[in-house]
Amino acid sequence: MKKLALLTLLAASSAMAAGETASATLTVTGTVSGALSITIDSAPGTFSGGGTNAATSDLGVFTQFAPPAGFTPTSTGPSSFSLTGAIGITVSATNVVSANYDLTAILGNPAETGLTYHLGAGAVVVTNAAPVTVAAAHAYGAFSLPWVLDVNSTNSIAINNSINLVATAN
Amino acid sequence: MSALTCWLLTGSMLLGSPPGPVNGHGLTISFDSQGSTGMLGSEATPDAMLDLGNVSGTSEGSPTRSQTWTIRRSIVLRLKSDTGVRGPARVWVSLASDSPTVRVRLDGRVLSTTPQLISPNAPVGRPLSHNLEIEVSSSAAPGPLETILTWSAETL
Repeated sequence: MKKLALLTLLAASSAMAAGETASATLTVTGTVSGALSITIDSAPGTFSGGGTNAATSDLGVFTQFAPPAGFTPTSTGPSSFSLTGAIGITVSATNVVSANYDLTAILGNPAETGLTYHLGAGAVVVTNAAPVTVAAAHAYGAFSLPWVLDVNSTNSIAINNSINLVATAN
Repeated sequence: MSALTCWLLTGSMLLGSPPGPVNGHGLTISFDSQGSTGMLGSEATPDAMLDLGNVSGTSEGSPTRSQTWTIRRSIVLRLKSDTGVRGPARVWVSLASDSPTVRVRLDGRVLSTTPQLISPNAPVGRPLSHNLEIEVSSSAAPGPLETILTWSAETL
């Protein structure tokens, strides 16, 4: 019985040794670059494009007494009121050596007459003139960016604007 | 009894392990840049290079808030035999070293420094396409990335 086992194993060994063999190496190289990304998760009004970096908020036709969904109105004068809401955003960092980031905002077009845009905890006025910091040294992840619209007009206002947000790692 | 044990061990190693780094037994492995995504240098030689260039979570379409992101490329290699052998071959792949921040998969199998049988019946003479995935930790520091895949083949 022992002899039979030996013979079988020898045959297997011999068959393997007869096979042709080859070897090769594939070296994969590259450079990993750090990247930040912003997604808009929610906003007042009829919101679309959530989870992307190009979302839309349709405020529709509104008044102080019938504000867009997600905005809370506050009367500020005989012909003025404020709408207070928030934009849900997420700033993520991949392969970035950074503990936090600064967020700036700028309008795509001049603010509509009778309308003032405020963003951030400090209610910073945002215009189309230059980016302004609306969140400083903020931790990565999801958060609600306060958004206030001051309305001061006796006339109707057609709103067609964009808020461009830029996160910069610290 | 001790002699029998010795043979059993030897037989097991030959059957279950890839051949050592020996070339020139009629069989060669080469990489084909035509079917591979990404630039391959030194093609048609056993030692090739795939340069990924600058890569990031954004460039590779990583979803936000992900703990990792993945680089996906296609690798095409070809087994050639100088002696005209056309029969199937077994192909093993291993990594030269492990990395705590990078996980490498080939056709869905996670690679390590231990050789893995990737193709048990690879045809000789025909191109073989494999899906290479390099999973990078989002918390890894930016900088150079290098991983070396060692391939071994043996005809049956």
